[in-house]
Amino acid sequence: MDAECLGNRLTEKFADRVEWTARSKKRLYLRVDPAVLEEVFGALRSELPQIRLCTSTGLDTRGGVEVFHHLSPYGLPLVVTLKIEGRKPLPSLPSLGRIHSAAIFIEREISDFLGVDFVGHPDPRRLLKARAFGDDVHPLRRDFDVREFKRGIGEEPEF
Amino acid sequence: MAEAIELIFYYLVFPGLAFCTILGLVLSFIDRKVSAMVQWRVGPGPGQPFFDVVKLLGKETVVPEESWARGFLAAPYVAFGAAGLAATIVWLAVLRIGGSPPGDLIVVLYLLSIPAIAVIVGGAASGNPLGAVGASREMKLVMAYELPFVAALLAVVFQTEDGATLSLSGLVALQDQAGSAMGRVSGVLGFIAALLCCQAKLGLVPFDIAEAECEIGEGALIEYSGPALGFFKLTQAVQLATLPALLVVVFWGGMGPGPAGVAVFALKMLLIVTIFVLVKNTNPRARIDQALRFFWGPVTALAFAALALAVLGV
Amino acid sequence: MKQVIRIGPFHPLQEEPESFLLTVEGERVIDVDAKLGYVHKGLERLCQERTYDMIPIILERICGICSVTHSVCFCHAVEDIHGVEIPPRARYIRTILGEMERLHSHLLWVGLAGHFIGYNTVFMWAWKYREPVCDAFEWLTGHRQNASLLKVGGVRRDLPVDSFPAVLKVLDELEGQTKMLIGAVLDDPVLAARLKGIGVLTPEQVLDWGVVGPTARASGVKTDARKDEPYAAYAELDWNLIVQPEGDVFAKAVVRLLEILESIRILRQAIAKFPPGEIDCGPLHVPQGEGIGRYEAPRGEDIHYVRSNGTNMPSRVKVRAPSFVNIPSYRASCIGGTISDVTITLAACDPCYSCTERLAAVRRDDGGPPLSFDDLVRLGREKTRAIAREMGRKPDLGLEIRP
Repeated sequence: MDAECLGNRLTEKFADRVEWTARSKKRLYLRVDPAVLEEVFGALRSELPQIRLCTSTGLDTRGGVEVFHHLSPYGLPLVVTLKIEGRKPLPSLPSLGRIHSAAIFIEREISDFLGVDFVGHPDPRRLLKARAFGDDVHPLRRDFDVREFKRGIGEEPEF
Repeated sequence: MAEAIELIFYYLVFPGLAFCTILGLVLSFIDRKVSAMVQWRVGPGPGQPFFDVVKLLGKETVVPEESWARGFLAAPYVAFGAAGLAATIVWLAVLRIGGSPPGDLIVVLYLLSIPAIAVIVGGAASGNPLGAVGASREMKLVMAYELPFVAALLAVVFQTEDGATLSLSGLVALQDQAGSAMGRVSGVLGFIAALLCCQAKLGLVPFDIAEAECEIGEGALIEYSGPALGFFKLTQAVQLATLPALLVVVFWGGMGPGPAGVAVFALKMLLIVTIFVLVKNTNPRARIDQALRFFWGPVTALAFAALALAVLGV
Repeated sequence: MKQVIRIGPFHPLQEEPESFLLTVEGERVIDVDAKLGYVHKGLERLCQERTYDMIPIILERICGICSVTHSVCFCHAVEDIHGVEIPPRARYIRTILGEMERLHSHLLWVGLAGHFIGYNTVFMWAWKYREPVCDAFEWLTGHRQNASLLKVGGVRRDLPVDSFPAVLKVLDELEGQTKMLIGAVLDDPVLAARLKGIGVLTPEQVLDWGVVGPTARASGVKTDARKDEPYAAYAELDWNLIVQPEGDVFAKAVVRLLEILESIRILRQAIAKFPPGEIDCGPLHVPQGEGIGRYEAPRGEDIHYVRSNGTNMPSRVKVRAPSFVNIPSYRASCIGGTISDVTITLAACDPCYSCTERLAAVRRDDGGPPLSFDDLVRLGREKTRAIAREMGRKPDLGLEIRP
């Protein structure tokens, strides 16, 4: 199944709640309404039973934070990217980790670095961000000021 | 008075603590060198085991706050003292100095298990969870290998038709007359079983489960440092000098007269140590349940087979 | 009685910074938690402030073992944005580098796995066999690691074709040694007792945790980016996907050992078919857009997402190393085992914490300013010279060291 065919199938099912572009036969990009993220993932699972999350990318944009879930089935040259966006200042998005364990770590990382609140996440603790960063400091946000941060640093690392 | 001084000399200098410590360190050098040869490494120089111990003795002993300090600190010295006493008795029999008292084999067996008990006490007293795991593993291991070890040694005792002796020098004297115990099937079987038990007693792979550095970071010894750790290492060295000697005395006829006898005895010791080292280097570490099953199953069966054959006179 | 046992924050064996908290009842492990983040390098952010030409060299520093992996994967992502086809010679060079890397990485794992279960002889032997592979890497690229050979649209330097016979000789020797190692592992009853049936991942768990690479292939899941989405020269070469159905640690070891033989096969063919021609397709302008690159690292599928805004710097680079999805699967494979099993199970996915966290700076012990590049080069040369003096011969580097 190539990208275009899959995009059309999903549009049939979810009408205007998904919007797809395919840059090639191997890469499908879907902009998804966060409210139907779980249903879209379920629909992808029924089309391609071997699909799993490769990783997710968080991106700080002007009005919010975008999260791209890159999904790929085992054994096929296809990567499906589900793009969802949460509004600033406190972006809140549904968690994929609730239904797919592979998303647990990466969602923890994204909430560390971009301050996204994943609703329904099974284990919403800090993962990679150093203790020197406060809970509301998000180093991958555009407004993060390295110089300002360096001035305030000085805590001992905690093991 | 002179007798007392003689006994103290036996215990502290020759053939007791000092002699066995040095011999054990030399043997541990051989262990390390042979391991290195098996593993295509260069290996240490002959002084390395001594340097290690000297270094440890010169360092500070750190006592963890959570520990039971007295037990924690006493354990290594008790272990060393007991191992030294066992070494003295075994080596007196090797060197044929004096006639050993009846039943000293049993005393040696008890003394040889004290270092293991000291490790258990020290590990449990350290207050470290990994130390507790190490202590519990050591405890299981002691229970696993003691029974077959005793059974294997008894096989030799029961080989003699006219009344058994539990004295080491008695066993040597008997073997002088009737040939070494290894000349019979029961002796060989018992020797193999005892060899495997000694592998575990010395804490060598595949039975270094209680110290497994990659799982529980030296286990019971995890909190030890400085002289306390040094004395545990010295205890291991003394045991390395004692157990092969015990095996030779009981199964292989002890030391013969003259320089030739000494040379043959040294070769026998070296052979046994080399077997330990080769087994150590060609096996992965067993899991504790696998070790238990191994000792209670095949090894105990082997030891009791040896015992039964010995009673039947084979 | 419940106790928490901590492995870390500096692993006694892997010599890598991570912390595993095992909650145990006696010897049985009832819960596992991982603490990461000790060496976070902030490379993703750094990449947003560097040009496309510099990034492959930065990404090489993500991991000490997979130096080729991340650079190639980034190149794949940018080439996906651009839609460019790289020349055949460059594809073969990437294949050779990738497979050399897989060889030494798998040998490294075999050694470490042996060390983890107290089998130090395997540890020493495997690492001894690995040494000539690193030497061959040096003959090919000038470095044992981090060859800085990759760029978007091709490779930077050509491989010296006259070193191929020597490399082939190394491969011949390695094949025999690997077969001996495989025989030793497969026939050893103690190893089988120690590794079989522990740390089992079922195919369902593999799918749920998104596990990749040899860890997934040992559970019977056919996944390999080299077959799924053939890149470089893999579609033109004849090789097999190694899959084992059992899912335990033993199967993972078998998969990795057999993959060494497959890599040798691939390398032989790639060297035999090595085509003439260009090694890169000239300067590229990266248009606005987004691309995803996939690459089969020794530890599994590596995936990079790159978003370009039409300038000479990307606006986002996302790096996902295989260990990032393999490590979390400990929740599925470790719980219920004993402490002895858990250490080897954790090691069985060949975790790489630097990859997982992506970051580094050389800090001085005395708290002074970090060492500059020139300082490091100077220190490296001094050390080489000192070692050469100690061994009583001139440095045999094939390169003249400038004073």
